[in-house]
Amino acid sequence: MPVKIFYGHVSWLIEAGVDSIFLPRLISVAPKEYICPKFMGLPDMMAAAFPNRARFIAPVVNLTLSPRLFYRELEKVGQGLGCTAKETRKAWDEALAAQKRFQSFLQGGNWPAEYEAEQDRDTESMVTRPLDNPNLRIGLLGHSYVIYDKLASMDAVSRLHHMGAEVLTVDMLSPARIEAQAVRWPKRMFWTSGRRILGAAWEYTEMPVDGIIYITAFGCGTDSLTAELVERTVRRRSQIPQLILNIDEHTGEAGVVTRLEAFVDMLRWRRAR
Amino acid sequence: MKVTFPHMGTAYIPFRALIKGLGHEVIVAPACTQRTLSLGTRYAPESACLPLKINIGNYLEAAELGAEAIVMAGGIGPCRFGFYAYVQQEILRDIGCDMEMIILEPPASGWQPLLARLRRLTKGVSAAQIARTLRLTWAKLVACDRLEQLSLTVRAYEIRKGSTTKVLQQAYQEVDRAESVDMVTRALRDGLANLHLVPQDRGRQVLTIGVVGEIYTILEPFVNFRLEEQLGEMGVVVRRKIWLSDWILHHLVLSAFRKQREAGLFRWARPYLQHFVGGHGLESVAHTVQLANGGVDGIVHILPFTCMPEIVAQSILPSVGEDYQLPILTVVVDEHTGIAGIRTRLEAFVDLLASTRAKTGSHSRSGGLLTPAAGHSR
Repeated sequence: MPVKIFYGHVSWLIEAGVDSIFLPRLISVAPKEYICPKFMGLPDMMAAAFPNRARFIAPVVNLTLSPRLFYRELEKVGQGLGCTAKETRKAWDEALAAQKRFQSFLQGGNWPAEYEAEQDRDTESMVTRPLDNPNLRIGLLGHSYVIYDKLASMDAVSRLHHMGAEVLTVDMLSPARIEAQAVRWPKRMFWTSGRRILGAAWEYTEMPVDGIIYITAFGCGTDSLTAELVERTVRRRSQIPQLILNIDEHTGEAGVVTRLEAFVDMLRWRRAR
Repeated sequence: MKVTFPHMGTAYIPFRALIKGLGHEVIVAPACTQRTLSLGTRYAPESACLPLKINIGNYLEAAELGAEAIVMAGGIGPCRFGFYAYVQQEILRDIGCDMEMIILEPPASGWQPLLARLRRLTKGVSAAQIARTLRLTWAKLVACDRLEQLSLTVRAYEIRKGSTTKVLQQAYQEVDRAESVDMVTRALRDGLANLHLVPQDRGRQVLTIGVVGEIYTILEPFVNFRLEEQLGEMGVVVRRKIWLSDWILHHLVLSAFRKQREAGLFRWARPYLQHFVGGHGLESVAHTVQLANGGVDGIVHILPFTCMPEIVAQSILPSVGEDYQLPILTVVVDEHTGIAGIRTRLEAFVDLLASTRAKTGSHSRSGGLLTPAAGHSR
């Protein structure tokens, strides 16, 4: 489903009349790890669906290879946009700094939409904060492009906030803790996002968390195995109830709301006991 | 140790020779059936791809026959297959099936664990015996592939339906029974000769269809509903470029050579797909272009439902088809696929190709390199 949404985004951009679209080919964002195979083919999939391949600026991001190769890719992008190598390098450093700021903002228990609001932009998409004193704590798992997307997640986060729950995400945990927990799995997880999810799941089992919710897009290949491992391990290691929400374009809002409510009610009931 | 392994087409023939040669008792799981699939879907995650589910069924049916250990390949991504063995191990553990899982990871993830597991399998076996076993295994692997390759042509011309398949099965049995490389050579020679002897009507007008896609669904006749047999019996010569021996060579033994092989694939796929996407996604695109240049009437692209690399290929193939004026049929299989549905679609596809052929005259695409209408301008 996220790929279908992606087609929608690109189509919207093209209709809006843009000249070129920046669409990096993400292969590997950490050494010896991969991204989902669909990301690797995205530029080609878009070129097959929309005419004129040249309009896609698609540098290869493969950090398993040497950093030098990556910088060369960046410089090529810069050249295409009429920048010198030095300007490109400077732009890259600024981008990295912005990303760091963003990540530490999230780690402070915040949401991406709030970052936008802080940067004084579109405040409309702002996520509501939990009630003043949330009495439940839920560990959320899932790919960032699902859990932070109102459409793809059916706005699950705001709904949970409204129900008086505090919601934790992978990005709010310390990267060092996630890494420490991820290596406890016997086989090295080769998908970066999957690896973070496994690490976070293990961390949740050692934290005061009332429940774990895993939001996944129907047909997601990496989640089909990651969620299975999470489910089995959490069950073996703890008593924490889990909910796996599998969403696709046919999912009805009422179904999602009912399941979230039932899950939250159940958690409250357990807590009261 | 009683050892088993998952099925994939005729892979059981070389694998049996391999494990037997290493001094273990081999338990070959019963051929895949509806029961295998039901067992697999009962325990496997719902949205996992089909091969994982069938593997689980194979293990459980082998366990019923007394298997104690499973030999399974690993992987380093990005395709899900790399995680199969590990997830399957967890599943078996939770249902209380205590078979030992011997996972052979490709050398790219480090030689140490691979060697340790190989030592576990080869304990007390002399180097000469190991060498002999490997030679025998390889001979059987190649023999099976060659027999199958010939059958893909012969079947289209056979006079009595099913006669090729019968001869092929007998030839497989002979290869399976062979205990030395010489015997395999003889079985292969006899098998090929017998296939040539199948009564054929060589004057018949046949269509040629290229089969591309994910390797397991291409090789395992249970999951593809005997796709190639069905096509052959409709009078279609099947061509494909995915063979078990290639996979063993590249995935398990020589991942070092991948680069070299990919260079060739890249050349073909370049106008459409410019990067490796895991599994056989790049192959599917490259092979389609290659087959389009080699004179096929159409392409059947087969994949398991939710297969990530093949979804990439699937969304790109239509533009290849458009550029080469080549019809492409995509067949997605999972546990809900019914044979009647597949059969109907194949028949309709073959009818379509036959009527195109009738209109455009014989084999419009044979020979010579074809320049696509608009392809390389993309």
